[in-house]
Amino acid sequence: MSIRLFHRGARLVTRMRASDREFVWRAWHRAPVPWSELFAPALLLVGYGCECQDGAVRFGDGGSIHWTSGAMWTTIRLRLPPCSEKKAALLADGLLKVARYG
Amino acid sequence: MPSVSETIQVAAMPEAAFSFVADAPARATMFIPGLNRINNVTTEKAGVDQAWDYEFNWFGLVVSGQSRCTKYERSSSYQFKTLTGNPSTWTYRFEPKEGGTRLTLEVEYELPQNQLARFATAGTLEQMNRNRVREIVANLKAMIEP
Repeated sequence: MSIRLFHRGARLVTRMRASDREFVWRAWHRAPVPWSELFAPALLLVGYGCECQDGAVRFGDGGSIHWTSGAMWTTIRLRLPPCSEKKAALLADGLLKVARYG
Repeated sequence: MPSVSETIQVAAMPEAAFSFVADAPARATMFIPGLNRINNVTTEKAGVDQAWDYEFNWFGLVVSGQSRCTKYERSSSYQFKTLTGNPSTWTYRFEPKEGGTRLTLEVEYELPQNQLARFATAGTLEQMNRNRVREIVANLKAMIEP
């Protein structure tokens, strides 16, 4: 058991913008991050099959995650498919955890 | 050992609810507030003795440890214990009711005496844990229902 103030190896991810079903985050990093390898399995766990493309993952009925990577940070844009407000909030929180701790 | 328990009606069959909760430990990060990371899952096949490491943000403190599945009765009961970290036993029960599932989560936990002395009474802790368990079952309902 260990008790700490911070998660080991966590990435700093800041929320840039959030609206009804669209979220923009900025992830800070020192090395490239294989985003599709992080997001696709997480989406599959909650029942969304994914189509991975260069710089994007598409899922559900119109859902997508797009990212634009630079040397120090990546801008991530999440668009959720139609679902209840509560489920949308949970999916966004869960995917933010993936970006931070995955 | 103190415990908190919450029950909610879910509009899905017990098999579907059980499968969502029990068949992939990593899925729990999507519905348990503060559970930020699950890794080193010992086997893909869910069942008794499947184990995993977890990191949990418990009101500002990051607690990490290992959990192990201790009961896996398909469609009716699923239990795991956190073996290190703050020892606790999480039991999910799934009962068919009104065409859906009556889902109950009971969490038994040990009072962390050293931390407890610093910032919370046993009653406060119970209330915090009760609120969290209530939130978890509500989140499960939102995630499982179509």
